[in-house]
Amino acid sequence: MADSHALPRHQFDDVEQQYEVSSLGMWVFLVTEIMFFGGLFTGYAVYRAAYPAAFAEGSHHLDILLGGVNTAVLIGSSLTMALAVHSAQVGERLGLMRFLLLTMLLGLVFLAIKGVEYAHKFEAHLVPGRYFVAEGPHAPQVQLFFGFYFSMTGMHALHMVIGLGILAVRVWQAWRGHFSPLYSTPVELTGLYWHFVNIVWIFLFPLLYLLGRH
Amino acid sequence: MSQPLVPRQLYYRVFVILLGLTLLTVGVAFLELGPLNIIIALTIAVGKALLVLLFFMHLRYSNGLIWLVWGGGDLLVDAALDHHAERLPDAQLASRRRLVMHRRTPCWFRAEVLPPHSALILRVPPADRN
Repeated sequence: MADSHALPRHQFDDVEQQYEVSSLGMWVFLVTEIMFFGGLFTGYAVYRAAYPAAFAEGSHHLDILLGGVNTAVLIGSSLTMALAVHSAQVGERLGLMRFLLLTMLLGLVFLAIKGVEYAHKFEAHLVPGRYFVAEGPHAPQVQLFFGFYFSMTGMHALHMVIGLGILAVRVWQAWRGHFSPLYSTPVELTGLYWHFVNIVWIFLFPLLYLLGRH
Repeated sequence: MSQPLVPRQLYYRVFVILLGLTLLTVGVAFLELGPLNIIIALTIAVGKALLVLLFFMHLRYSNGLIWLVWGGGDLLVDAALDHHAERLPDAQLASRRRLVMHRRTPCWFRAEVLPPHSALILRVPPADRN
């Protein structure tokens, strides 16, 4: 099965060109993702500049410990993903499966912690909408902050869920012996996606959790 | 194959540096540095993102075409941020002058805080204006 994938499709000169095209396609997709998240980040920047005090106040409601732990969890999952790609490249099937599963486990830990955080926000009436409750002169703008908080972290979490689905397929394919040192492109492209999603979190964490702590 | 085989040692090193930078960014957030706070936080975030891009995502070993695609996408977002940054004082003025909040609907959906030329405007439907 692996051998059939080692041969290039007829439109490509060789396996290397096929790899470069696949990889380029993934990078182009990631650029569209930057533009997608870029819209959210730009909106955040504009409103944060307009209401700095309210955004700092909203940020104080977030749990810096849970956010920090989640950042470390994601960085760990990027490490295991990179090691999974390495295992695929050197043809270690069991190592590949182990690291892919570890990556999924860390992704699930992240989502579980995120779920705990969301639950706290619901209990504290900090979810924008008719049940939102906040004291002080900035209450409507604090609600705006939480609008950004839930859209940005929610969209990020959705990307994680999709990534977990893709990883599950890769585990299954690895188990079936789909990959070899000659053909590991899908694992590598999954890795690119996973790392990208983690980069988004690298920016979300300071922007949402670390505002106005001083 | 053309894919780079990066030594595992390097991944572990990058991982440790990323964790260290995360601790650093949390630590710096508790210091009173005025406008420098956000600049330092974003500089560290950009540094972390670069480490992930260059080593975990193998950008360092990729060909020029992929660099071009990545750089182009980055520039687009930068341009969007600059475009709005230029108008921020304007936006702040407008927010004081024309802020419209509605009690019945979520304000984060209805707040009109930006000048009309901004692409990000969230308009209040005319029927709802009092």
